[in-house]
Amino acid sequence: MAEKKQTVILQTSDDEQFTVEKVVAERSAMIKSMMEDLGDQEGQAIPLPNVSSSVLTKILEYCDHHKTEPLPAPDANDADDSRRKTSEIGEWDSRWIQVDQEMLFEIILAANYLDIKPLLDVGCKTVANMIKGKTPEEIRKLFNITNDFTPEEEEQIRKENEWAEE
Amino acid sequence: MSIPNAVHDLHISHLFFVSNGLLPNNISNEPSQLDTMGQSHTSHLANAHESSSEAESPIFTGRLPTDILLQIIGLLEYEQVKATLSALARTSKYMHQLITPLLWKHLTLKPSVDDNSDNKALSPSPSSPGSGKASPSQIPFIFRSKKLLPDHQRRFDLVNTLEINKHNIEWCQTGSLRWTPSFPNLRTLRIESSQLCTTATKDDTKRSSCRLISGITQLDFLIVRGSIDMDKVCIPRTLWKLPREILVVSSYHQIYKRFLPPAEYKGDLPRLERITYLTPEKADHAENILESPHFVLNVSRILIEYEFVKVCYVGNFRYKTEGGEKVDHAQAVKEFEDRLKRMMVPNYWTTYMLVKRQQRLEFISLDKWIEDEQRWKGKLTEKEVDGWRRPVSKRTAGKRASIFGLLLSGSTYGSWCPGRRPSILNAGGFWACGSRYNTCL
Repeated sequence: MAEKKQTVILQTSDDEQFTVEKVVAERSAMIKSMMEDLGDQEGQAIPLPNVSSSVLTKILEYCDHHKTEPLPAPDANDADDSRRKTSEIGEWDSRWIQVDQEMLFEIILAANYLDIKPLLDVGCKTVANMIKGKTPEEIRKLFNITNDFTPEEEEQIRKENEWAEE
Repeated sequence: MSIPNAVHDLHISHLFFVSNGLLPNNISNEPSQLDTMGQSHTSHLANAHESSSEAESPIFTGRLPTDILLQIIGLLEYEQVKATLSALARTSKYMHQLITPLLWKHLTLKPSVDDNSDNKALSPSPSSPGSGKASPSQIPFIFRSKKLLPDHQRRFDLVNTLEINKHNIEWCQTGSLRWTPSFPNLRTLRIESSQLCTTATKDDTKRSSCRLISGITQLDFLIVRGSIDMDKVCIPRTLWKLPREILVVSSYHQIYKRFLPPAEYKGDLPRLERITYLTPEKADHAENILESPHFVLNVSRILIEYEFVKVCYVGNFRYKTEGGEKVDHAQAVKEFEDRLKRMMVPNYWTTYMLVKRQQRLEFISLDKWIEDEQRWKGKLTEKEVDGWRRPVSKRTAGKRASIFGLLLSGSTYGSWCPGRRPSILNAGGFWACGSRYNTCL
């Protein structure tokens, strides 16, 4: 069966179209279920209004690299907790995710929207590793958090938490 | 194995003397207390959750949605990166509400270095028992750099697991504090020590026990690790009486030759349902432990005294062959059961009693326990459990030997239950002298 590879067309928020192998696109549980809903409508583009072309290019790279791996079971939410929870990231993944911070957040948001669990994990682990050892001020900057503490309040919490920090 | 008959009889008769005085007088499991505890715990968490969602949004204008943020926080919590969680909690009020319950859920306490006076804080501070008020210099060294204040109480309410590391006689100086913290939602207490408390002078034993511990009034799981001395100075009787399950993780010597919980409690631990003794050492460190007469004695005694308690031993069991000792779980257990039968049935137990008691006794190989045991998941860290499983490398073997070396150096047979069981103590010493059970000492 030397059939030509099955493909699907994805359309990004900036109206670019990507023709993608089905096995690659299926990494996204969201696209997979859309493909199932659409059936075999050849040439029908799947719109991804929340994903820009630059982010999709990056994500497709990831999906292509992992296309041979078994898909996580749809309801395997916390089944393999221990593996998901360690902050260790695979070698290829950690090289792949070396992007600027803006892109990293975009990737995480897109992975969340597209429902690509392993990718979301990699993203979250990367952020978790990024904030390790950072000061509150550095974390605020990173997450764009507004400080609504008075300096006295912040100091009081610091003192209180000393006990829990070990 | 031949035991001099006189000594044997001495032990057994003593054993029965002990057992007669203590038959199950109060087996009330106090389910009501447990229920209310569970309720207050969950409602408390629900409250925390509500209040955190109220504070959402206008204050937190983060770049990531809350569920992703929670996933990231979950990773940090899982790894117990407390300093980072604490920094995160200080970024905004919303984050503070989100993280505070996680930060305090598992509280680890250990002696800390006093920043203000170099390393002086690591040496025990002079104490003056009897003087009620604590001047700054008398506050125990573990709390000198981090003051224990009544303000902390509302945070201690959040503690689900309390882990106390390097607990020793010094902690008991917290008795001079003027308030006793309480832990109303505590489920698991882990207490670890590599120091013996038996060096305590008479004054020390009179001193009130560790203030932190004495504030604990309910508990489901007690995990005792290391070479902690079971003298009541370190773990008061009230504490032994609280948990439904106890896990003792220690060396062969501590577990198989001493009697835990302390013999003086004589089975009077009404809530206890299960006690597990775990020895993480790899087989090449251990002697043929199931053959020890102390062990047969301890097992039979705990089966008699704690009539409704399941007793579980976890380790790499071995037995003797002509070609040397071999690790074979099933065979080692079989040999032990034969020995128990030979020692107990002819004179003391009926076959029926033996069968009934053996039903409450279980031996599990370490690897199988690690694979199967759900009960202690989340209470032991994966890291420490993995450490038990991994083959012992030369480097870690040395480290381990030094830890256990420390505990063994102080644990003579005579010290395990001072003054309470002279006949057993003496006999134990007699046995130990010149027998191969003495080799590790």
